[in-house]
Amino acid sequence: MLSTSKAIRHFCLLALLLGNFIQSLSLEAKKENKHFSNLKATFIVNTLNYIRWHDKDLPLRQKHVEFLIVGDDKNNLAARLAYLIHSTEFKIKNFQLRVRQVSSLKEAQDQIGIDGKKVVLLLDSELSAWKKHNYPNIPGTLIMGESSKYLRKGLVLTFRKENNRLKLGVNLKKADAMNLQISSKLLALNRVVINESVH
Amino acid sequence: MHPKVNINNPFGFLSRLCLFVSLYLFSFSNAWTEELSSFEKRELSRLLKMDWTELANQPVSGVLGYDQEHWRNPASIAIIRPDDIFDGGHLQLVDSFRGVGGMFVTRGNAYDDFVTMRNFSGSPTEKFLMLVDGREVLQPMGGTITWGTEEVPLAILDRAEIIRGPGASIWGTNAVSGVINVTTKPAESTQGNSVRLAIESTGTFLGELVHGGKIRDGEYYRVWVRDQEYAESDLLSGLPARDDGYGRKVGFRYDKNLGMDLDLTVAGAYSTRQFEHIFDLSYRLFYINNDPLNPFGLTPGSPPIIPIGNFPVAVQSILLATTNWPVSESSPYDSIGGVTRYQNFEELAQDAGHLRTRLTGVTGNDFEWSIDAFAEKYKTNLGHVGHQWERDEYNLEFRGNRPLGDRNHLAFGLGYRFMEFDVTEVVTSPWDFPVLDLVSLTPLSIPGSNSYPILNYKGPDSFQRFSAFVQDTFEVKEDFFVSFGSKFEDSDFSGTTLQPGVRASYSVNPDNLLWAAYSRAYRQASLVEKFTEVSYARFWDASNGIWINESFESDPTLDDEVMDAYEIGWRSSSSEKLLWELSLFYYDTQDAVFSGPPIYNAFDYTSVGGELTFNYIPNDFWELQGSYSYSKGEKEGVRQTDFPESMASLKSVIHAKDDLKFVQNLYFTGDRILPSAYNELPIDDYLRLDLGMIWQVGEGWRIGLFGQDLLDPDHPENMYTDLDVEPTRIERRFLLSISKEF
Repeated sequence: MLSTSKAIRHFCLLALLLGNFIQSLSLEAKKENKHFSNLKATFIVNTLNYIRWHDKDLPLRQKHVEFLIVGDDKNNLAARLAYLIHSTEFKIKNFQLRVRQVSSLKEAQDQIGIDGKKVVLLLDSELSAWKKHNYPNIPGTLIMGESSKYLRKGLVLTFRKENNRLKLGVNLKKADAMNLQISSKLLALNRVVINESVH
Repeated sequence: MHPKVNINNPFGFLSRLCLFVSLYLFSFSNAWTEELSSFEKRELSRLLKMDWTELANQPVSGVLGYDQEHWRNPASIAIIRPDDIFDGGHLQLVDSFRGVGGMFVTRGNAYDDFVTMRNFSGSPTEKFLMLVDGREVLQPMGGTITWGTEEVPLAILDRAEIIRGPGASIWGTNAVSGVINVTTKPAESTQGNSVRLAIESTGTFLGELVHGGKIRDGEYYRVWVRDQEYAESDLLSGLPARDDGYGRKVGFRYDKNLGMDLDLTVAGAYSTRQFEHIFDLSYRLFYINNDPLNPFGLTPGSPPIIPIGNFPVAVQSILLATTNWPVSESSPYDSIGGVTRYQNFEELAQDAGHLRTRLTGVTGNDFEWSIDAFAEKYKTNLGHVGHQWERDEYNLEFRGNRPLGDRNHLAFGLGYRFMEFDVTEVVTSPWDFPVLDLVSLTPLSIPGSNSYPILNYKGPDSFQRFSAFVQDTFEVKEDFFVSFGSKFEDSDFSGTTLQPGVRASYSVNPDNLLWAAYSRAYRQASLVEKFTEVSYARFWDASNGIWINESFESDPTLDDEVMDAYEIGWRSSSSEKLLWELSLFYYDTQDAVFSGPPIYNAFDYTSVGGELTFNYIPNDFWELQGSYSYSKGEKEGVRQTDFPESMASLKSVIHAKDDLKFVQNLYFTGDRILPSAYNELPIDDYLRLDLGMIWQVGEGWRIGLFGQDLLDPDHPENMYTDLDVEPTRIERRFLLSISKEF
């Protein structure tokens, strides 16, 4: 039979283990799984390879282009994108791409498209804040939506999960309007949905 | 003063250990979102190597251990990619398994390779399952894999996953000591022309040619041809091994995208191989020493039986006068066991063709499914044992998986397999003389012959198998996965079986993952083991002047081998540059079948051991990869010596320039004993050193120059015990390999 002190010790141990377990459950319940986040980040970087910018739309004075990740980044997408871009030494023309995380659209609104902040990924948390007229009329500005929630929101690209696969939605009209050229090789690929949000 | 640890109170110690581990977990639980773990960085690097289409084909959620991230797998998994094979200077996929911890790979002769996993087999019978694009390639007749028949050109190989440990809950029967899952690339990924040519200093040649084309958007094809011409080896004695021959294969694949999430694949291949194989006759004829006339000056009854080869040559001639035995051949191995060497070579030929179709789709509710249909025809002539058989096989399989809520992912499947056999036994030339049954003393014969064959198959000529599996992957929390399920099978081979398994992986902290598994797996006895009489010797009864057949019967009542397997593993990556893993296993097998005179016997067998593997990248130009494995097998409590208990490998790749790299492979294999009825052969431990230089010439061309087995001029590795007289010499050799990628 266990002595009282031993029983208390064992109870504490059990409580600690359970506490740890339950705390982890509550912390992580709202997050998407890491595999999905990794896949999405790689998919985004790979897709950028198929986008062409015109020289005149890129900053003259800076050596880099900023990639703004806008919103509540609970899946750590910015860190994943930064790692991938650093690993691949990703460049748009000769400009290095640098990832910067901005916590809200309100904070980012005045920066998008200006001073080389040409690539933007809107996270789902900013869905309600985003309006089509927020898209600045600055050539070369590529704004992408993290998920299918941004369908018909006037963005050039949307990434969405459908049938357990990642798919890419392309708004060609908006891409043209932003002076962005999307490779015909990409458009010919399966799992690319074209002109889905031209409204 | 240090506090005393009471080692006599293990529970107290365990409590402290649990407390420590729990605190350790707790300390990391809030730090997750800040930094990417080394595992995740490695996973991102892996995904980065994929092109857009490959990424778009990756399931967002999947079945734990099979299509999730490698690092999260609750199993010991090694992945061989085409570069591993080319850079290692390997002509065949099977050669590259030498670098995988726990895998014991040996060469018997030019065309025969033996592979066993984790000290469980010891015989040519592979006790694991191999699939090529979902098609089971384990031969049910002998329970072996004909490695050369299953080779594909390197350019179309996507990867080979080697899953050590039972995976029966998904893969099914015969996935006992592991699974080798080979997949080829889709036709879209092999567009254009690719060539691979390789020639060894021994004279062995390999040529592969692949052509892929596009019919229209979403519709692709490829055709290919592979030819391997095998040079003759020398036996340990210096005599020619007569193992030269060829293996030739052609194949095709057609892929059509029928819709955004609907794809069709039709593929097939035909292969033909032609060799000779030896049958050792040295210890097959015996003299019963009960002749009252005592013609050879022997004491009647002592010893009771004498190998004919032990008599002086003149006496042998008298005794063999009534047989069709060939003349003896001399070699240094004559003296082993004091038996004169007799041998017989016969044709060994295989022709195999298969056709497969796969339809895969994903529906709107994330339900992924695939339907596979396979048809195969296999024809072989094992001339050395006079055993010819044809197998027609048809398989139909359905597999599906879908998420269930946020935390479950269910996988399930149904399968049907039908096999038909047409077996022909032939009395080979040496055995073509009258022989009587041991009990009835009546003449033994088969239709068309006055004598009796070595193998006599008495089993049914068709088999069916129904199977179903269900497995759930439950995400207990983001870093704690449990996968459990079972396979159900009902077959003419094994009856009805239930093969459950449970696996779990837990990320203790961002850099460390623990996993554990329990599985129950079955291996069905081969058709030879279960239904074939083996006449392995004949006895001369001088009193009656007759030859008497000695055989051991197959055992139709042989149960399936049943294995309970317990595994645990610890995977750790403290930095992006280092990944190491420790896997420990304990296998407890009941009714493990061991063949050989006088009968097929079933024994209890235990195997215990582990593997330590690592990948380390010290700097931008240097990669290291290594493994050490230890395993100990016991048959009915008796330690087995036919498997090397220790093995190790070390691979080093130095990227000297962007277009030039140097590869070094070291393989250590511990000592063991090759069992045999009369010429048991100790195989000393050996260290193999391979060096290679690979030059990327440009335009997709690369040239590799390799030196293999550089540390000694030659050494023996393996042979078919009781079929081969002696092993071949695995010689120091050099290889030139040229390839052009697509």
